[in-house]
Amino acid sequence: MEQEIVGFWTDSRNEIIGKCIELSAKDAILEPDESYRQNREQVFEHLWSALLQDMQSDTMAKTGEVVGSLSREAVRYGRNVEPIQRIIEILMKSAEEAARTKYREDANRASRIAGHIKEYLDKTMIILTKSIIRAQAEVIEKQKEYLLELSTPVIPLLDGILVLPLIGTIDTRRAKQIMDNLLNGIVEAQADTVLIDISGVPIVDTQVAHHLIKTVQAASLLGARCIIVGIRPEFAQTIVKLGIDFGSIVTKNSLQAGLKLALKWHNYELRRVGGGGPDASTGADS
Amino acid sequence: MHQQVPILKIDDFWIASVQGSLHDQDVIEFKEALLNKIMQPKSRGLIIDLTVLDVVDSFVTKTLIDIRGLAGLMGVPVVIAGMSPAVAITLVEMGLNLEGVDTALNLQKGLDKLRNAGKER
Repeated sequence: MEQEIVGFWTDSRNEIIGKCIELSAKDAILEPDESYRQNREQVFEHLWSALLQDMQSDTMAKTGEVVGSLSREAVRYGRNVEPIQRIIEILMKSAEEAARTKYREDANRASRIAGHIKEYLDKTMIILTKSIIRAQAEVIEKQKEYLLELSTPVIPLLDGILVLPLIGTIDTRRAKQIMDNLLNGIVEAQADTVLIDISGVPIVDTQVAHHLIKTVQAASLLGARCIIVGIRPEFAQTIVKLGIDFGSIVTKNSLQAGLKLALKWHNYELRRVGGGGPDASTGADS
Repeated sequence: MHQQVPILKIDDFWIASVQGSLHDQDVIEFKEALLNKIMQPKSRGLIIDLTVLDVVDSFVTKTLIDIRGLAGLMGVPVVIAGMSPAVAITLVEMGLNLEGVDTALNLQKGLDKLRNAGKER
């Protein structure tokens, strides 16, 4: 049984590949697509030989590899995955047609081979679906990492003063990232004052407050003082309602107020040189 | 005595720089040695530098709090300097906060802190 399909597959190589190229040239999906125009023949041959190996060893390992790398490439570069599906369909269709022509007199044998081909078509399609999903999951995971990096910047504002603007919902994972980033930022910049701006955090619950307190405590162990700024009325209400003790933490309503306090701690004085409003020619030095 | 932690003097300030992790017995010896040093007259402050320390346990933490309390009784302010982020995170995760202990980012800032504290007196 298995030898039959392997034998047919090997013998009819040229017919199958030839038919594939003929079919794909007229195909409505493959023809307008740029991605496999140059190396279409190669892709068919790859897939053909992978399937041959798998038919001999009765696994789907090699096909999985080829289909996997095709779909990973397509997903990574944001291309359509439909052509891959089409390539597999065309290969199987060509094989079926080749079988029907080859065993024209032996109808039984032809349908047996066709059945095998159908089986392999189904298996390959399942592999394709799985590998597309896996490739997409990889991309999403990577994007998540990038997003985490992007979302917790530590900005050196003045000598010894850092600003940490928090934007978006804070979960445990992000809170850890924030703490790591901040502590490393403090050591790197040797900063002793940190302004944590939470005006961009939409929901503040016990968890978030807990993380905030932990971050402030860790920073103070390093020797940096934190000022939490951007506290909105809802946040204040939540804190009071939940009975969270913010006693030892310095808080201010706005970044401006926090900055003024930080400047005072550092013995800076903020004053306008000369009169009038902003002047483009002198810049915004303070 | 086998001394794990060198205790040095600059002006009237004592500086103890912890090198590597300490066993419980070392910690006890360290505490004794430290208290003996700051007993001397003209001790205006103590800095414990943890820059190279990357692991702490609860016993070390407790001892640090103890030292702060004992030195406080003797009228000597204590500053802990140069704690690494990893240590700080461990302490916070363990729920141990060095309540009331002064901290500084590095030795220089620790010294500045003690000098300023001295002036206010």
